[in-house]
Amino acid sequence: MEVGMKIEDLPISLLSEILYRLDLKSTMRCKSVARQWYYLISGLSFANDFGRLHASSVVDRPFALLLHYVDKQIKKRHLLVTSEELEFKSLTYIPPIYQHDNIEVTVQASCNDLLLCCANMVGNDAGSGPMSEYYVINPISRQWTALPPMPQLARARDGFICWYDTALHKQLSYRVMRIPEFKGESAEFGVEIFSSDTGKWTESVGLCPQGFHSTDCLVGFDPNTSKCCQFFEKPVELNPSHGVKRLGLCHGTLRICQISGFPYKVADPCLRVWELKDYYEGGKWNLEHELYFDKMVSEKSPRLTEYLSKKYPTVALLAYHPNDREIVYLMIKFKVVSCNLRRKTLEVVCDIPTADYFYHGCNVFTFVLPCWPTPIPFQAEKAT
Amino acid sequence: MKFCTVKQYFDDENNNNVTNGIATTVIPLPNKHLKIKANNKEMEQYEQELLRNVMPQELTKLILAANYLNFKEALDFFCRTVANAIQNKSVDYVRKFFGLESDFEPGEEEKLCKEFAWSFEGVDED
Repeated sequence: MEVGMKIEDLPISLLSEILYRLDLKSTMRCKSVARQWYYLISGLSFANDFGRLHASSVVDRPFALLLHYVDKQIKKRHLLVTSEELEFKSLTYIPPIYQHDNIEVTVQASCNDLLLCCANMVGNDAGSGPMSEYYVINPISRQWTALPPMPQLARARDGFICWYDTALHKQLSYRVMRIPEFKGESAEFGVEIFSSDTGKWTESVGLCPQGFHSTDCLVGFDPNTSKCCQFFEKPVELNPSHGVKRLGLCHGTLRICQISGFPYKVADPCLRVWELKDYYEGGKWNLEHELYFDKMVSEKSPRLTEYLSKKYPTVALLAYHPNDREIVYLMIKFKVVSCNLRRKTLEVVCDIPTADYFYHGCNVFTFVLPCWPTPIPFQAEKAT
Repeated sequence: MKFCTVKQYFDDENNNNVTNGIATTVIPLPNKHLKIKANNKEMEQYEQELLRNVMPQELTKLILAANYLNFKEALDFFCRTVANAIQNKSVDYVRKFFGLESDFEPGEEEKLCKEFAWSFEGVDED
């Protein structure tokens, strides 16, 4: 009778081969089986190889919208997640070091499955008070890293982009950009850029051409060269005084949307979406969709259809679908609604307790779940 | 080539990686694989058979053998069989399957369970 071989005799490479063939949930759970498994699964090369074996079409990746809002009565910030999938339960996670009554954490930006957050003292605006700290977090794997203090403590608009190429075994690389508020009309604006490659903030100036501020223009700024690189005029049909405009990204292309309607009392309110084409040849906006509200139909919620055909419905664009070019997310009254632009159909996603914060889309973020959570380097891994 | 390695194995007497019992399971596999490559259902049945008749330790030996023989299809098949056996199962089940014991400190494991709580939901009953 042979003595059974123990698992310790199975080399790490072959144990990995078994684990790669599990789904994300089971693999994450296996971190709790034994220490060796924890370190194996938390490693960078495991992440790369798991991702490669599970590579699936980016269009099918599950995703959620995160909506940041404040409960005015108790002055507490909340993060609403629009998906019920188990993986997304982790999205509201805050690292223990920032879990404190005096500290307020806000999501400032998102890219793929990473969030840029800011922790600051309650009562201060993000990035402006003393003890304001930015951090980048993967809420699924709970890996995170704090950024060094920024050059200027001021209210700012934040941007965040990241690159992670599993096929080439590269490490995560990201840039955080801050454009501190500036008053008046100026052809120059200050930019602060954090690069994960250098681990440092640098200050830079964005320069715009003459007469820039008198036209309604979009500026593209490249954090790698620290220069303004592209200038686009807004679409010709975009009415500068009509309705709220929303810029966003869908499947890698820039889109802009205008809803003529709320808060303006307009007959025949409608939703228009333009997409930017010929980016390298100066850029041209193409009207992709034009949808009149009274033509939109919701099969499951006939009351919604009815509401939209009434006078002056309250509709705002929350977000573009990150990969599906036919879908946008709207806020209609107190509901998040997915709208298929081609079929002109609507589907209620969830309810929201308050509408105030989302009209200008500042507090809405998209989160796309990859095959394996993007690993964040420079973070000491602990089993405790 | 798969069959060259097999011959080499038989010539190598000091080989501890593959015992006779395993060799008799692995070696017929290429033929079986070629015959039923297109037929997923039969492969599934074979997989179920394996899981029923073969102990987990034997499965890990099969994996080692397939790896040593550089037999990629068999390696993929056996690894997937083991993965399917532990998919969506509890941590305790997985430990029992591999004959492992927890080597975490008392508080550590609880912390991990809390951190990845979402991954512990909807797990199959043992």
